[in-house]
Amino acid sequence: MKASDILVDVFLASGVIAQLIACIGVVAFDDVFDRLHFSGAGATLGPLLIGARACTRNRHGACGAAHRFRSGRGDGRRTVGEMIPLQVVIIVLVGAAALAVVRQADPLRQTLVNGFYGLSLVVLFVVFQAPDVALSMIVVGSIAYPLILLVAIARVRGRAEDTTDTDKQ
Amino acid sequence: MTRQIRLGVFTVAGCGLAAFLLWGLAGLPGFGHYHWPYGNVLNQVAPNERHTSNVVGAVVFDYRGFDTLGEEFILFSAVVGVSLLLRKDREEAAPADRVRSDPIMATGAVAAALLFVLGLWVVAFGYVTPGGGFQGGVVLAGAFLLVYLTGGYREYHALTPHSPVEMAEAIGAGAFAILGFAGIAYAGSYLGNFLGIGDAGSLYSGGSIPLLNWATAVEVCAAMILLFSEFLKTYVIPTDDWRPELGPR
Repeated sequence: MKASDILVDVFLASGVIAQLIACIGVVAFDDVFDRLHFSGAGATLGPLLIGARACTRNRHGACGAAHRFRSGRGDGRRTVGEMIPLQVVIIVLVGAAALAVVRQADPLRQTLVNGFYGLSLVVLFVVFQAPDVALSMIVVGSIAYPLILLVAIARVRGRAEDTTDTDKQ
Repeated sequence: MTRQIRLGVFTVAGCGLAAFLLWGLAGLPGFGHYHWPYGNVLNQVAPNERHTSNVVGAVVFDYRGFDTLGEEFILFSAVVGVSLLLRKDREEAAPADRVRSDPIMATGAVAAALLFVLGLWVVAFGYVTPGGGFQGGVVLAGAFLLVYLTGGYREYHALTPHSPVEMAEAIGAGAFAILGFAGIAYAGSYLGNFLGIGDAGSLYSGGSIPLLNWATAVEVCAAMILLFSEFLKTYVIPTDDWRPELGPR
């Protein structure tokens, strides 16, 4: 048995055990924030270990990035397609919109700017000939995501007002 | 942590991220090209073999239908996970959130209805024009969200009662898996296409793709609604004059 074989088993076993502990944690704890610790570990630690197992076991097939990097080099000169001006414009626009979201300090206005950023992404997908993706981005970017942000902001502000009220009393 | 230590940690992490990003970018194919023949082959083959004019639909619900089954159950278990994570032991008072402006409510009602019809169209023609069960399902769920945004939690809750939506999610996910077994019975392989391929460009095309498409749409729509319901329950249940369990007083 080679050392790499043992490593493969160790990665897989620890990954599955980590995942199991994360699941048990989510069920067992009463507080949302305690549960979040475990759901976070379940989304990172377990998949990372299982992914490491896949990379050790099958260096060329499973670890796509390494494989692609090598084969990309082997081609010699890479073929490069033409980018039309509209595509350049929309990429710049998406970048500018993203910057605008980050630069806006007030969360409520940030949500509004973020909606425009989502809309610019929709145009980007259309321009890059991915209308299927653009369709779901319309709803996610302009209704679902702003809604979640707005509700959270409203709740946090409500709480802040409550605490200032009790302070006055 | 002092500012300097934080800056040091950030520099190390930032350099690592930048290195990985550059390494990944160096491996990207040229603009408009990619290394494998799969996409080109499918573009040639799918319109003749399946009579679908949207090849993406044929890939999602036929050629790589098994991957889509996995995706469906990722969404399914994600929703189960969220309800498990956000389950509540005690009710908290939250501000009432009714929209009181008549023009907004009227516009919202019209927009929600239009969005719902648009969603049905995106699903129904998913394999003819861009769209499909995933996108259409999200659009349909968006229509219900618009009802919440422009009406209130009461209207939203009346339109999306918890247990039927939960049932719809399970039925959507289960139907996809069962249609796979129908593929074994009639086409010899799991998720094999077992219906006549019909006429290209019409709703009757693609064989069993429409069925899988609708199963996905129901699952995705119900899953999105459940996600938002869980989220809204955590934040905005108006406890002062109305509770969903008791109904309007």
